[in-house]
Amino acid sequence: MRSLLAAHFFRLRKSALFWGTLALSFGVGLMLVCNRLSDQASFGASISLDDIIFGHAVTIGLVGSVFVSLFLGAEYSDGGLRNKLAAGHSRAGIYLASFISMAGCCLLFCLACLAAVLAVGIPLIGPPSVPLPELLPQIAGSMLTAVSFCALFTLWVMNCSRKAVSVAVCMLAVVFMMSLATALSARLDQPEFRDTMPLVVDGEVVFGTEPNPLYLRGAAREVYQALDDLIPYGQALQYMTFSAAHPERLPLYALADTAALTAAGIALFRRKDLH
Amino acid sequence: MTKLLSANFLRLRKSVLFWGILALSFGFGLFTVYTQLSDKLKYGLEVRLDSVLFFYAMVIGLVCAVFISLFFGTEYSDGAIRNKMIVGQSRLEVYLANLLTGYLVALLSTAAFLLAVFGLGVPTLGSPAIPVPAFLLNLLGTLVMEAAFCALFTFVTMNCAKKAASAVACILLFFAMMVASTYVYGRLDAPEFITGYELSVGGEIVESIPEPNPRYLRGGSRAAYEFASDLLPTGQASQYTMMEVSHPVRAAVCAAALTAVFTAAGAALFRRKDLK
Repeated sequence: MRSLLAAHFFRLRKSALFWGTLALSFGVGLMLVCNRLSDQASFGASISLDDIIFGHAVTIGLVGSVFVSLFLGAEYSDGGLRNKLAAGHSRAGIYLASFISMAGCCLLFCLACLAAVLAVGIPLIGPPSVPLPELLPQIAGSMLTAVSFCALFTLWVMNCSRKAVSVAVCMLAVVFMMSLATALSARLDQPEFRDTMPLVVDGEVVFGTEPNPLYLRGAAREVYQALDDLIPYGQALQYMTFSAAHPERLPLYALADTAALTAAGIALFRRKDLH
Repeated sequence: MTKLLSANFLRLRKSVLFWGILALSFGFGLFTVYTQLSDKLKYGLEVRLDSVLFFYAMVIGLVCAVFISLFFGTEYSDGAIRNKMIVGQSRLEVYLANLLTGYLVALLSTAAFLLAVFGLGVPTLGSPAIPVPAFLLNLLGTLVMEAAFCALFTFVTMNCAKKAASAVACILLFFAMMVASTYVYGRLDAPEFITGYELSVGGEIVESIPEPNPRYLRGGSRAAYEFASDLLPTGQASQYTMMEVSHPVRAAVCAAALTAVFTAAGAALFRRKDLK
């Protein structure tokens, strides 16, 4: 496996796609900071680094889907996979080496984005308001989310011999997860009570409330919350908005996603006809 | 050209991608009606079929991006484009035949969505309240918008020999346009004045004196943003989806102009392309 990993890292060092994506991730971080500064300058909006510090978590899905499908997909089209098998490597070893190297790349892309946000954002916007002991575990959790995204893309790409189809499917999977997570969080964020028209009671303005029929209760809420925690994009959105109902659960869900997807991917790849 | 079109249609008939897109469009139509119906039954919300009639406008760009890049990208990888040249077809005809085929698929996908929406929606949610001429006008607008999407993605795909690169470029282009139009729409949607509630001297709740909203766009910049919203196919898509088209004629003219420009540019580039 060490030689497989070394081969991947050697390819990465010479890959324009890798360096381009790394630069793009850094650029995304810079753009997030510029966007907040522009809001402040144009409208006097109060801004905080908290709003963008988890920008990497929501962008890594799309960035990773393109990178993993193009980089690993090239192994099929160039016959690299067959060569590795012919050299005597096991299928599980090939799969794991591909996953580990892609996970490493996704972590680097996240770190590049985060580095840009912190390096430019702290001097210009100020440090994040969330205390460091609270922030660090969440950053570590968002990195695990990035790894779970990578596990999903690796599963598909290693089991689909058509590079273009892999690209389209991985990107559409991100769109689907994005839509699903947005819909789930919209339902979970519904307030339990909603305001009625303001009334005057004893000379004071009183805002009455009534139960919100859209608020989820009981088992339905649990199911929605579990789904939102399970989907990598749901995790990313929760980190981005600091709205996690159970922040301690998210890393566990990310690890479970990664383990399940990798196990399924290896099982499928073992049986795959590589022509 | 007739032969090229019939060859494309023959390929379509056997294409899993094509049938998958039709099935997904039909399923998406059923799903949108189901969500409205579910809201009505569970929460007693007032829902109308009108609100989902043009939902397809939001996703048709993505459908075109995926279909055109994968379906016509295969022509490069399988060498079919060279074969068409060898049998004497002109490059312009090949380009136009592919554009028309992509557009036909967009139309069929729209038809599948509307079939599902009307098929399930009319019996369960009732007939739409929108007058027929207004519906037809909006529908016509979306069809011109679809032509612009097809022209744009055909331009990319026919001038890029790598199928995977075409797919990435088309899908990312769609996302970039979506992000741009969401930003533009957000800026245009800001209210001119901000009002709140306050207690009057007489003890009644009255609206406070409206204050100018710093985010509201005025003058030339508002006109520029409105034009951008009408020019971007995804900006038009947002307007058609919500049935709030500010300048229907200008939006249609912009879409037609985009179609013409990208088709002319794409065909000109394709004529000079080295097909190896």
